[in-house]
Amino acid sequence: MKRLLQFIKNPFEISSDKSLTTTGIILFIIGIILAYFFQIQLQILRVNPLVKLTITDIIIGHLIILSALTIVYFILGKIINRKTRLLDILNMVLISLAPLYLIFFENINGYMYEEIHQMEEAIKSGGILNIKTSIFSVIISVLSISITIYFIYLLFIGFKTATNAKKIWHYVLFFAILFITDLLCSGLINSI
Amino acid sequence: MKAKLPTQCPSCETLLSVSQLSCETCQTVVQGNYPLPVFLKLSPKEQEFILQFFLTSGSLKEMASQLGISYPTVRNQLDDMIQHIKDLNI
Repeated sequence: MKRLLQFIKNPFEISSDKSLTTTGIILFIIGIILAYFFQIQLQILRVNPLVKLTITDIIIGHLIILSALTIVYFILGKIINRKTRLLDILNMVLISLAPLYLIFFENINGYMYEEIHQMEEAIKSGGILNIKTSIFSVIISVLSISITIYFIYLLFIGFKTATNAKKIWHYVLFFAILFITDLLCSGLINSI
Repeated sequence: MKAKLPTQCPSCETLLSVSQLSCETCQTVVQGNYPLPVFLKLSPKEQEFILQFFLTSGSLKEMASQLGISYPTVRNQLDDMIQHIKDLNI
């Protein structure tokens, strides 16, 4: 139990490289399957349930996210600490992405699709303020935000462990890179 | 009980120095002012780390598996210790 809590708090501190890589790859494949099953396009800090996706689209999208985050954080890691290893950065990205796959379950029976579609229609017709928000929608939104915060937290502590980053400018660059990569990846994935 | 060697002043927390050494056999006493060796200036946790590092022949991977922590965590601890020792102006 203590080990499990430690794993939730900081999996990068207590787990070996091999177990992190194996777990990360298995979760990454599960993520692709879930994204296809629930028809959700992952774009780092956002998801899009409004597009029709083939398994190839999803694999390419997930690989873009994985490689983009790994490359940019590996470069930043090397600048901060030349001892930074590619494997640690890859593990950090693979494991951090895992909680985001839980968001896919919010599209069971096309729930998320319907909610966003209704909102889009309301915006077009100018009646966005008349939309009634159910308690369930609020719970789902809070859950999504919590999962996204946990993803950023895992990415952050994974990066700190991999690079031994301690200075403020390291943290500023970390967050700046996250938001820039998110924007670039979204653009790239949407253009596929 | 094995007495723990104090390295910090309990009053102002400055590092202590050795001012007296004695021979247990003939009771000869040497007095002076000698700085503590580097190893003793480190915290007990850091001393334990160095000992582990030595016993694993300097293999950080083996240390990580023995301590049940990840390789980058051990490497970070080593880097922090190297910095600490450099800061001691040795």
